[in-house]
Amino acid sequence: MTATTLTLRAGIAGTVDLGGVLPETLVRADAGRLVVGLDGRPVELAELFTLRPGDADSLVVEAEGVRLDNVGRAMTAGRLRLEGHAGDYAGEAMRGGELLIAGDAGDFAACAMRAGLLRIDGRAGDWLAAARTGERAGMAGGVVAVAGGVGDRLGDRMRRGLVLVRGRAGRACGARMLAGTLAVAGGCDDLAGFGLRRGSLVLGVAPELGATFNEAGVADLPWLGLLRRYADAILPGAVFAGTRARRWQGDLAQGGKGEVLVPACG
Amino acid sequence: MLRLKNGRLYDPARGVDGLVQDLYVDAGRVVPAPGPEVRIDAELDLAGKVVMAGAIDLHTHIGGGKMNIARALLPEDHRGDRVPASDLGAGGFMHAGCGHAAPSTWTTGYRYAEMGYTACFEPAMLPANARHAHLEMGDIPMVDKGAYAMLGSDDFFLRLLAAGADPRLIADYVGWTLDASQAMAIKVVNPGGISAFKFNTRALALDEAHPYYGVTPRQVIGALARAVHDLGLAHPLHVHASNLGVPGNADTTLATMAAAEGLPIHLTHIQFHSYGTEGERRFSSEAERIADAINRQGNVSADVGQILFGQTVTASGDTMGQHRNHRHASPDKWVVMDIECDAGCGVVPFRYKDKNFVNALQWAIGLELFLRVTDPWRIFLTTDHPNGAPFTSYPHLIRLLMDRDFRNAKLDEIHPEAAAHSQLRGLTREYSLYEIAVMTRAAPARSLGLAERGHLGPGAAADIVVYRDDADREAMFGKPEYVFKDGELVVRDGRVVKVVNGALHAVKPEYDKGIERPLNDYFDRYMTVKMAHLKIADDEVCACGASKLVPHACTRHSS
Repeated sequence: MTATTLTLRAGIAGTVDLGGVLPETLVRADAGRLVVGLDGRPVELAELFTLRPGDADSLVVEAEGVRLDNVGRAMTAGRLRLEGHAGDYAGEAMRGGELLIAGDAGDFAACAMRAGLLRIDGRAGDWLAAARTGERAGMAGGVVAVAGGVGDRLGDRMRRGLVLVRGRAGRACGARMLAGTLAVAGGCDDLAGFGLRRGSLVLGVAPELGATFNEAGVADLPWLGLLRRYADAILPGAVFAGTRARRWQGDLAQGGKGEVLVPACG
Repeated sequence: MLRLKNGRLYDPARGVDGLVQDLYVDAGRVVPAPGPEVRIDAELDLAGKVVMAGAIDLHTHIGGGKMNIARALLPEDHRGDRVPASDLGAGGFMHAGCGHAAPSTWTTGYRYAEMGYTACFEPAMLPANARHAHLEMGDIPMVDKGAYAMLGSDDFFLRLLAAGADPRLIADYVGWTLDASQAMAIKVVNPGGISAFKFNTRALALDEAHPYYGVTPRQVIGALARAVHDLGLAHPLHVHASNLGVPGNADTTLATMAAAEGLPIHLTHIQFHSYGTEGERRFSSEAERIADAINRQGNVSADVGQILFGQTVTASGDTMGQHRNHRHASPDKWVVMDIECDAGCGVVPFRYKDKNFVNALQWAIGLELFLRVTDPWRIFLTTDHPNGAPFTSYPHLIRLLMDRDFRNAKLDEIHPEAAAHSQLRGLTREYSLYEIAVMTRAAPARSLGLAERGHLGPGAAADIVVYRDDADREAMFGKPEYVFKDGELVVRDGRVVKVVNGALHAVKPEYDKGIERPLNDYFDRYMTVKMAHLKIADDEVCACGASKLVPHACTRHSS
């Protein structure tokens, strides 16, 4: 069992569009002729990468010094590991499989994701698990796990699924969320849950909330224990310990069926 | 000099129907056969190939604010259809682009050329938006362009009409509008209705008085048709009739034809105006009645606005109609807006489904109209891009018209009740190559007064398309072997090989410039810009991106 490996050739610089490069497409005999993009122009994969054939369900991409956009876009199965940083749209519209990014990811990672697991060892940019521009719903299923922090607009218009973040999130975390769960151990900047309709923000640190969030006391929520057990198997430390949580309901300007949970003191 | 040898020519403007003849091209023009002393620099043997003039689309929404709104509204349309840039070397550089229903400007131009189109006309340019429309059209490469100025719901005109102004004054205003906005013709959209919508009217019948001005849509059409005729414009008043898409609107459509009182009138996307209210679902085809009326009245021409199944976006100046349609928006997002209190615009995404009774019947009604109107010089091939379907579906549409078995096979796939309601299966007509050349070349050129386009006679601009004669007409018309634009080879095997920039066509009517005095006062009092700002100078058109301005003189008739 060896993974198929793609290694960037020396001297290549710019933005590489890796859309379409998936574990299953690279075992085809003519994989080297697969068309990818370099700075917006179509080029054959073999011009940019050397390909070492391996299994159909596992692909490792080794690339440094270029920006790699659309890594694992519309991935459905298998395992793709990127040794290095990803550009924008990593795991866009993923439908299954496992995408592992050993470095950081740019903006719009996991947007329109439906299923599968996206793991980011570094930090992620803005619009993680959010809606793509113009769309009415963001991530609609699957799990995203980020070891570092994330940028603004985490989970904007998110509809379903789970996002685990061990670091801190930027502004407007969970804005306009329709449903789903965001767990951010390091808390987040202002405008948390702006326009939140449903869904849960499970934050390790209490955020600054707007006037349209209503404090609803401390509750004992056994499901938090289940969530933590599930989450720890993927990314330990993203969900706070214990089942007692301070709870706010909101955003009351949008019906107020969402909630923000932080650990209850003591 | 270039010789195109042994091609089979379809050139209806000269009555040439499949004659094998050599064509000579020099300095961008078709020229008569030269004497033996003239050197032939290049030669192409086109034995067995079909040769036509470049196609002309006389109704396609390719520029102006509404297309930008459609693009902004539908990023998914762009994400789903991306075209990378390509460097053609000596042929220039093709920009990257995107979009299926509302493609980017560059992609629009490339795709038109790759289907053998060499001229496209934007039918709904609001004079207040003209500068933007010209900038946008200037960005569209490969094809010649022109635009129709939208009047009929603007306050200045409605005031003139309500006050019973002299038709000569109205003609001066129409002439000024054409001149100021560098337009090719006059279009009226839902006559008076766009204005009435802002007075809380949700439907305005042809003989119903506007709630504020008191004038009727019939008067609007009559006055504009008269002005267009008196100014001597080649293209008749281009009418988007009232009640678009409303079951039972065929009566309005017939009355609209009559409202022109015998003057030339062009009814656009007539498929959307040929509906009855028969049957259980209160929606039926009136294509036969409409087609008979067109056949009977020589002053009437029409383009079809065929729908084809799939995702598209509808963009129209008809705020009243689009507000009514918004509940069918798919995906569910839409825009209806006012522009300068003089007109409006509505953008509603649509997905036409073959298994939907109404959509399936709309499809059949459009095809029925094509097949029932006997004179191809008066019915034009359009999908009202992008309202019925993107223009890239033209080759498919041509095959539906030319291939009865193919058409019937498609008929078997649509909603069975719609197929049963339609008389389409009984229509055996198949368009010939000659008739296709009429409706996509010669007739639009004649209707628009483009003396040098749409034909292959000596003196014509060398916009020439060469097709492989393929029994699969969709493949044939989708991928021409050669396309020449003004004598230059721009497309080879359905791919752009050289990027060129088309000209802008505009009419130059005669009118009394004295109209500027009341107009200037009016602009100062009511508008957000000065009158002088609205006017677009001849050289500005080229600054907007057109390769040159092609002026078309008009001979004024006295009324």
